[in-house]
Amino acid sequence: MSARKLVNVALTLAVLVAIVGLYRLTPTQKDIQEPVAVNGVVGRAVKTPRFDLTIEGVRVGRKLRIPGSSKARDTLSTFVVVDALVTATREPIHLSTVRIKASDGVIYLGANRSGLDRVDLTGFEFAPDIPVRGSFVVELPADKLPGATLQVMEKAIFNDLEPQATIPLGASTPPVEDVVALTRASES
Amino acid sequence: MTGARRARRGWFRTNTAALGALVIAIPLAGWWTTRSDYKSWYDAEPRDPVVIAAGGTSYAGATWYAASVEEDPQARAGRQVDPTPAGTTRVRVYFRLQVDNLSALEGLGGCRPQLRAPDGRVWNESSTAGDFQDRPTGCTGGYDVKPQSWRGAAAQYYLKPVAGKPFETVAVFVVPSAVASNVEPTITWATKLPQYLAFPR
Repeated sequence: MSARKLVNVALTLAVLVAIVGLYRLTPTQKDIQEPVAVNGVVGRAVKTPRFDLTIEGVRVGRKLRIPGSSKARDTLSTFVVVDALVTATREPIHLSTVRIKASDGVIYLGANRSGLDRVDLTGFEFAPDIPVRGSFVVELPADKLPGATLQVMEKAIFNDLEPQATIPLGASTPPVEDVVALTRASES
Repeated sequence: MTGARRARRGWFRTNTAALGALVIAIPLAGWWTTRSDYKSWYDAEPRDPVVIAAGGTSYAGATWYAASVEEDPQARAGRQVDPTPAGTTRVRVYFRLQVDNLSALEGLGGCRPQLRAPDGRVWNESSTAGDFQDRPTGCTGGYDVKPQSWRGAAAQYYLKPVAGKPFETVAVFVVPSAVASNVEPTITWATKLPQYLAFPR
């Protein structure tokens, strides 16, 4: 085999390696469609471009009392009530996507009980620089809470690369109360 | 080698027209897609103000006059209301407009009054403002055929608009006190973006 052929084979291999390597570096569908995580901690404001979110506490209960509804609600798991302070920064917005991702990767969506959206933070229209205190409610087994992460986003659909407030809720479970009572979301 | 080189030169010469077309077409396609993406982004938000002149400005088939803005307004007679949250101020705006042809009212439906700070932050109408609304809301005026006595002093404002005669509507907002004195009323229609009406104070 002549030296020229050897050089050709080496060049071909180099180009193949370069092609495979570059393909590994290109963004995948997931990379260009997933929300962008804005990380924070409990008790400190998480500042996303369009809203600030401060988690003030987490309560867990077997039943949930919704203001304006006489009977406490039952659940097959537990109610996790996340008390928070929310401020929009630019224009009126809603926070439509609320969920908790457990440490095993299972995602629990925000609770959808009747009457809940009239009092919790998902039904509230936030106005710029007027802080609102209220709660998010997610139903999940209390033993899934250690290591779980709260994820809050403005939009429910078309949310490619949208900022998503991402806050670890801590390594321990708060004491499970018999009944947790919601307070109506309001400008504090 | 000499023969191959000569053949290649021939290929370029045969395809000059096609290569020239590519040189024009590729930048043109890039410019076109970029432009249409930019346009759809630009048109999604209110960005181009149509500023209302003191003597009235014609827009969307109506003549718009200066809006009157009132900080911390009085509630309607006989209404007791809770104070606004700490650090906020209520702002009431009366919009004044006139149509020369009543059919123009149809084009004014779906308007959204907002307050806008100089830095671009915007506030929507307050959802709990009934006690401060002594005119019809929206942009199409009243709907009463004759004055209704139970409306009290505000009855005249709820009459159906008459061609050529100005009428008033109301919008009530709650904004941070820090911006209450420099926010400007605006009106937006989803169908007319990126234009919006701006009412200087």
